[in-house]
Amino acid sequence: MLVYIARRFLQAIPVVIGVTFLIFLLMFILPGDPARMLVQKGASPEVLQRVREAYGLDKPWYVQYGKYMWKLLHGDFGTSIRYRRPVIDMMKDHYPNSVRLALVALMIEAVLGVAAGIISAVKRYSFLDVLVTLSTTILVAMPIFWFAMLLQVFFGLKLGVLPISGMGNGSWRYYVLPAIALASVHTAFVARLTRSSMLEVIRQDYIRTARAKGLSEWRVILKHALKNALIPVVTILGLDFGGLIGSAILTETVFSWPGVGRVIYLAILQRDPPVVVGGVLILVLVFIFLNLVVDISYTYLDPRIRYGARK
Amino acid sequence: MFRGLKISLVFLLVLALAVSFISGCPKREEVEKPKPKPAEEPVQGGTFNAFLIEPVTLDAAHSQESAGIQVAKQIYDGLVDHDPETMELVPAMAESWEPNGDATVFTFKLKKGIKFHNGRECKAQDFVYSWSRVAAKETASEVAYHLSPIKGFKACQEGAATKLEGVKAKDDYTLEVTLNYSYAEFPVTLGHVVFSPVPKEVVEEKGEKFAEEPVGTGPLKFTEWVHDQRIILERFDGYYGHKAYLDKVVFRIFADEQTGFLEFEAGNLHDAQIPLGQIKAAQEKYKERCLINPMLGIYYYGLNMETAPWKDNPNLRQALNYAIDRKSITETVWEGARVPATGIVPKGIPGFQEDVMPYTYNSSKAKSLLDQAGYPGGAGLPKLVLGYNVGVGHDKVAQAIQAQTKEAGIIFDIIGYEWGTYLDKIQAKEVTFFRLGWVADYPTMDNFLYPLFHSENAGADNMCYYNNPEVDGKLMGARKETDEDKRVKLYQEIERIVLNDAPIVPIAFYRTSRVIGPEVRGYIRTATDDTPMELIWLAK
Repeated sequence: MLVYIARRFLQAIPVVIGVTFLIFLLMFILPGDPARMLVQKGASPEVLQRVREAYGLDKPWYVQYGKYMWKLLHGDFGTSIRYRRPVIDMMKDHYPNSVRLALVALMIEAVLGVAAGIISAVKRYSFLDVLVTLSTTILVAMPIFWFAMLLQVFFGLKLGVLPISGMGNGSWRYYVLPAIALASVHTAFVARLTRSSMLEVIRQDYIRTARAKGLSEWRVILKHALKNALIPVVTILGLDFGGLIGSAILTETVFSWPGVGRVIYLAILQRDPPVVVGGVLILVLVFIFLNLVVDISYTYLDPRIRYGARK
Repeated sequence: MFRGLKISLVFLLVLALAVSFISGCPKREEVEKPKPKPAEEPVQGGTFNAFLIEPVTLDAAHSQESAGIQVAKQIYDGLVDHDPETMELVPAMAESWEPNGDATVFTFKLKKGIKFHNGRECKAQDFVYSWSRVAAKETASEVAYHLSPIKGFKACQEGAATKLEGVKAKDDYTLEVTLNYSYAEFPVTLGHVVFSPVPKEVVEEKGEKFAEEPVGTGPLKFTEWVHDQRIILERFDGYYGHKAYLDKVVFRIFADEQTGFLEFEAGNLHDAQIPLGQIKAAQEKYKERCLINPMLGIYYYGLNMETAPWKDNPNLRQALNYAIDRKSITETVWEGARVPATGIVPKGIPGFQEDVMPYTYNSSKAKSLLDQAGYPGGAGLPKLVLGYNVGVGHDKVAQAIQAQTKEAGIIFDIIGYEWGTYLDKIQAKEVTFFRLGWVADYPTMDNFLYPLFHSENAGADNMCYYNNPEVDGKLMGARKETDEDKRVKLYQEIERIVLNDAPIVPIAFYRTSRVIGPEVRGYIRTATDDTPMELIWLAK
């Protein structure tokens, strides 16, 4: 197993180089001059040239990329062109907020999604199954920003029971609405996936055998069926965590949540390559790590899966 | 299965009814009428919760965007200021100032005993350091151009000097500024935050961190900035001027205006920006608590004067000006949050001309000018494309204007671009019919006419590439004129010439759109769209 983990970490190196190269290249292909974005007024060609020189933007992209990678090797993620702040400081400010929000959303997704999926599969064609199907369809169809605004108006403004936006003092109350909004679509997917996966497993011979042995229905479902049905669900949940961090732009915007998704998004609009590359790079590392965790978790869920063992 | 479906539908119907019932209930915050003001005495203390978008920086040397300037103006102070209500020039850190005969040298006498927030006295040498820092090449200030009239600015920008030759401390309390040319309105420009003094020892100690932990001489001192969450300022008791009533101002940072407005409606903010589309409703609900005031800014469509069909065709440019019904656009699209442009220089600027605009909506006049332009009924007119930057409602204005001008025979397509791409395309003359806006840095006619229409600024702020030697000459002449009346008359004449040449289509003048809480007193939204927080107090 240790060899396997070490090999996976080594495999991450070309991924990191590839990702940084690709994003750097994309940032340069994008039309729009970073210097022009920086200077709002009085942007004469001379002024723009001075700004480009000051930030090294006058150099060819591959020189800039080389310099960036050299700094990165020394642990320096560079400095934001727009905010003049070290990228690592910006990430330290925003990543923990995104991770916390994503964890809460993931919990909602895992608990509600899996529970709804099990109930839906076990009580197939019942009122509960139809209700879950309808609810998940509505959740998937609803634009997140609209759902988020509904939550704000209803729970924040009309009832006044939960904060409308921001992180405030970091109390759990501030997490509720953005986490629900963020988890909404993913919860629906998890519920649908769990349902179909459970339905497939329930038809298997070993489930019939378990029932024949006289085990209670819930024991059959939770101990024998769910464990096997969870493999695709765990894969989705693992990958979702990275997605919840990186794709939370709408939720972060509506709830003014100080997360990293919005920082990266604004950096793209403002043509701020160090922030985009640094932000995405950390996200990629998170993805690589989570993939590894997911793969390792398979060995627990399915003892037939073994990594690094001789065939 | 169908039974289950039926029950589910009934359940959803009941849920929908419940939601609509609750949303119909009265809101938590009932609208209170402001209490009568005359008898009230200002109350000391309290915390003001203000709306803000995340600023880029709080360093005076880089302050250019409105959110950063809003906060920076509380932290920093300059030699002069502008009266928040009238925009007239008033002394701040300078006790007095005197120009020489041709307005090339200005001598400022500083007030004694003014302190930085770190307790050290601010002296004339601090201005020499701070202005030289802004002009220095390594600072790479985006707003350094404000100092361009000062002698030695170019050498600093090119890295040949580190100290501005034209700024000298004659003694601790006397500052002498020498300019490259006569510029009588120079003191007015000093109200911009970029001219604020900063303490050298703090800047050197903090380095780039100074932008996040600034120190100035303003009425409020910096306490905390949690990025994308809040900025906290506290009253500076050692302030030399009008001390703030409030103990603390908490700028709560929002990603957009909509969420900030919701927080205001829930009673969690003392002020907020009213989102576009909700202005009429807010005015009806909050009445005089809505501050829809004139702002020193213009929204216009620019025409590239070096490319066809606009080049050498004043009739076509004028036809376009006549074909637009500005009033209907400001009323329908902007809900009155902007007013029809009546010229280039908006109301509130000394020298503003009420009826300078020769173009009122006149479709038949537009048609006749189009004939004279060589395009009778629009026939033969090349395919026109209007560009705008996406995401902030400019598409609605463009669509309204597209429908209006079609009536006169001027037909064009509209294309939205992302901001970075958009500016590049205008500068490269790829987009030759475009939307832009201009908000004044200081209340002078020059601040509109010089950057937008002097040929020296072509391709920078003069995106129309307008080049009229007569206008260039008169602009420089006006800058040199020391007699205020004569100077204003010159600028007024320039405005008329430019309007007649029609390199732009003025559409609207900006207005502020703020709303304040029922307990807020002394709140002024200035014509430069900021608020002097030291004047605010909260009624009990």
